[in-house]
Amino acid sequence: MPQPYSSPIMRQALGDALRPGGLHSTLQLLELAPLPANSLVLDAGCGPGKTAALLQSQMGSRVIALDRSSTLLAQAGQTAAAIAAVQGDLAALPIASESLDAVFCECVLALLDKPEMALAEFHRTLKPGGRMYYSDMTAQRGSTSMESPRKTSCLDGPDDLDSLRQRLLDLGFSVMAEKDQTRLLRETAGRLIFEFGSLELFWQAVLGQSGCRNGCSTNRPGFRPGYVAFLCRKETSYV
Amino acid sequence: MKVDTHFEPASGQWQCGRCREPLQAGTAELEYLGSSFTVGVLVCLQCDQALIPEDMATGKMLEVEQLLEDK
Repeated sequence: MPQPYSSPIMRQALGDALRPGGLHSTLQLLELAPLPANSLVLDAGCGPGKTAALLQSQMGSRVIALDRSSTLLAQAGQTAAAIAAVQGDLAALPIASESLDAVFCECVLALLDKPEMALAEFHRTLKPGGRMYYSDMTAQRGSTSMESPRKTSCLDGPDDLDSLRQRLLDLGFSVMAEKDQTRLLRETAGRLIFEFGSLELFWQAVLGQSGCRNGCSTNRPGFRPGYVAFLCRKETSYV
Repeated sequence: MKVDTHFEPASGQWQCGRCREPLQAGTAELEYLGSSFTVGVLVCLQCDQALIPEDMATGKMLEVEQLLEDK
């Protein structure tokens, strides 16, 4: 299975945080809800560890950085040396229930076939009232159905915004703040067009011709991706 | 992101219409609807004017404009 987010081309295109706008949305949510020093925080799908390093250096957090990619996890260990780097599955966290003060999950869940399983795990491992800093791709317009059997990029069938909100509520989170970050996504896409000639050529460079054989995500007729960041809280009245 | 500064137009020796200086490979900052992009183009080193070739204007630039205009 292709691992586009380990690709040097993707790293060059998206920067060290591996998402549109880098740490912009992270800092925006942290400004709304700063973390007390010494908080125990999970960076879920940490990638090269940019958020983990920020949390450690600027918030004084104790950080568990988890990713399924050993390549990215090794990079995270270099970016932020004092983190606990764990290779694992977001749908089965090796973390005790009600032990975390906060979870960061940024531009990751749209890559999963069953994002609700990861969110349920975040809810289980957060302390009551714990916060989740969550950003994700959305489908502002167009089909969210996948043409390929497994997702290879975050643009392979993201959910629409209403579905994302409802899923959070259904799984026991309240939404304290919501920030539309679509401009960051579009600016990144614009840079990719100038750099590679078109978005299709960019995805071909990352995934190869065969990876794009079903039509790269950005070419689906009528499909219009968006990007959103949520600040959430674990509600304890949820049964 | 890397900016390709080795851009050359399809043909011709280009010089600045204002300064008569030969154009050199360089970069220009394009701004549109509050977003800015650095692109590799030919520029006049004296007056900073840049040559935007037709295929860039009707290709990449148009695609980016449509992206940002939410159409």
